[in-house]
Amino acid sequence: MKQEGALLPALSWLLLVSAELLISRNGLGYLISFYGENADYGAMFAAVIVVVLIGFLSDRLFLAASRWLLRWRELPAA
Amino acid sequence: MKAPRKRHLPRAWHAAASYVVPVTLLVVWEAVVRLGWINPFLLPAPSAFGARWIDEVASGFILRDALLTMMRALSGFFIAAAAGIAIGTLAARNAAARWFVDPVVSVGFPMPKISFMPIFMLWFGLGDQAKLAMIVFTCIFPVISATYLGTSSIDRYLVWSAQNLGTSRRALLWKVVIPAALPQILSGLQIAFPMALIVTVVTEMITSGGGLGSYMIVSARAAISEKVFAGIATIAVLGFLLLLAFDLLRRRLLRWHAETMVAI
Repeated sequence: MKQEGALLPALSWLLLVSAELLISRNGLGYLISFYGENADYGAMFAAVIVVVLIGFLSDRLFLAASRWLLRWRELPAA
Repeated sequence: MKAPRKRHLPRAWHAAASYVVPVTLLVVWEAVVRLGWINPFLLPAPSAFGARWIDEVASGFILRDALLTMMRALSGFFIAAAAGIAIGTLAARNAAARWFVDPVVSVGFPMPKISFMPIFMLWFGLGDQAKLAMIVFTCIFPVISATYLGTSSIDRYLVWSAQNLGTSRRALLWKVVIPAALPQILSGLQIAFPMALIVTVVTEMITSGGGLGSYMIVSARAAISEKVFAGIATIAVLGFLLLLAFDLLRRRLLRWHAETMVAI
């Protein structure tokens, strides 16, 4: 929470996974709903954890990129 | 030297000018469908689904679903707001709470919470509980983050002067810390609110049980595309009105703040 979390990556992941849960033939969202419908909950949790990890990593990447792009900006010492 | 005179259009013209683009778009849309360039099943003409929309509103079916959606979205949003502001303030003021909350929010904010929907369905069933849990789970992170940043970055002189004047700890929180952080808290809520709407509609599409989301998915399965567009129009109107209300509320609450002093 040092920095405000990047909103748009979070939002795009939210919408992508929602769309995949609803209508898709592949992708992690589809995998989650597929395992859920087949009551294979261990596999479902695994897929959810992969989604969580990707979300976290994309957020870190985005923050690193924005820090690098805005390195000219004088920030108050954190 | 005479300064070149600026020519002013009458105010009414300016007001009318802002409608030119949407009206043109609607006319083009209608024309494209009427000319047969687009299959009207895939994209119904505005006149067709407008008539359908009026029918649906008049019959009251869509209003019932809209009311359900609003109830869910607003309940989830307010639960998330209350809990999120409390957790965020606590994390800013207490090191142990910060130690606990910081990593949870760092991971929780960017992850697509909707991927937990099948798990929530497993835990809470298909009713309103799973939907509400999902809405709260999604909306709480932006609120916590904004509240934490807001309450931990307020002007120290405000706090010091209040303490110098003998403000108690409780009064310091309610009269100084929360009002000073309010602009940022409200920004967090303004991010959370559209998320609440999105997640409500998506959960309704996934688990059904009434509401605009299931109205749209049922209409789509019955291949009545006009009703799907009627659902989209309804949610768009509701979202627009609620965001407008939010904006007014923000201006009312932040009368004292510099952002509202700017002429709009």
